Amino acid sequence: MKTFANCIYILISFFSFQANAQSFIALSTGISTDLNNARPFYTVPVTLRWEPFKHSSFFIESIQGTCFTRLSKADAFTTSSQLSEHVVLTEATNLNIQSIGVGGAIVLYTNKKNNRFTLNLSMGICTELFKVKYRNYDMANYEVLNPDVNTRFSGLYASIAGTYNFHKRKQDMFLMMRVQSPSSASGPDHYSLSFHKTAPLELSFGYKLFYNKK
Amino acid sequence: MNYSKNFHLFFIPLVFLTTCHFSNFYPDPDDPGLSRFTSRGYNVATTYVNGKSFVNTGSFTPILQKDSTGSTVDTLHFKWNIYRNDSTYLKSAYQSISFLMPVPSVFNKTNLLAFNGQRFLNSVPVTLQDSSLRNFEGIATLYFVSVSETNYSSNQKYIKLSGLFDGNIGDSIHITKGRFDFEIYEDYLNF
Repeated sequence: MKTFANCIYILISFFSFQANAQSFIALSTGISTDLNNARPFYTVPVTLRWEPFKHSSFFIESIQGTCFTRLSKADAFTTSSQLSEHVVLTEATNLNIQSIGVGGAIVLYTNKKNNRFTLNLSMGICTELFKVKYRNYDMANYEVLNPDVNTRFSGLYASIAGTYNFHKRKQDMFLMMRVQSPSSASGPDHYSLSFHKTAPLELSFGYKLFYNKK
Repeated sequence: MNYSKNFHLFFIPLVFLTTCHFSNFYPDPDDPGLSRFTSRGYNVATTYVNGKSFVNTGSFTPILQKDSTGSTVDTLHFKWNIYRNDSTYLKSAYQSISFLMPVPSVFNKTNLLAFNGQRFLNSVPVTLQDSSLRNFEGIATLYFVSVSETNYSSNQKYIKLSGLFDGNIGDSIHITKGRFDFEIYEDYLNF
């Protein structure tokens, strides 16, 4: 706990020279693909970022990703003489990603209108839950060859995001391109699955909600 | 000699027994007590016998040999040891399962590879042997879902065999949901 507190202190201090005018909460959503699987998982991430300090660009982020079902094929076999010896099943894999982390923003560019391009660096803990279901699977008679199973990975991640912050009609908005590393988690065992931990590449749009505005 | 000093050495085989066995056993969430049906050379075989789960012992490969009968038809002997996959394993009713397939006397590795995808329906003699070495014989279905050759190097060739089986021994012993996944060093084959 003490180490964690020290890390937070170091981050706050390190990013203090990138001072904000106000504290804010940023909410964004978009689409994300996956750089770590040959057949990628597509998710809709919702990101909440809180920069609590006026004099530091230190932030806390929380990301919830909900996946579009990934469909693939699986082979199932039977010894039953009454049934076809081999059938092809549809495997539906759903993914739920939750990440929570801390980081800081570095301002790389500011123009006359005070639009800013910042680089956000963060790290934290990511949990991925893969849920696998075989559609129309006659479980009593068929066996799926090399089946995938429900799997949970939980470990550390690091991420980098390029953010363009701009104003329009008195609204503070931003566009963000963010990439997150696969988590450091090792699987529950050495069993090979048809999927790996994901590395989401996210493009999102969001709003900044300032508070304590002076 | 101070035996008490070396007493801990007696436990080493026990440690191997408990750790090696489950190295490649991946529980099937749909069939409690059985390993998943795989084709990766995990050297694991599991089945239900009268609803009780059985697993092969250790990570040992099975016996796969051709027994000569002196005629034009030989017997392909496919056997592995089993025990109960639960807390009652010490009182296991059966200790091995074997399949005896009639094959031509010229049967060789190429013929074995040709088993790939072949299902032998209700035609393979199966034998369960109990701890008193009594044999219980019946008829099984054996499905070689995948048979392939793997070369790890020029002089290290393995045969990967994976498949399904079930069978009946009389009206009282039912073998169900059997699955195997073996990788056998080619030099161990006698054909």
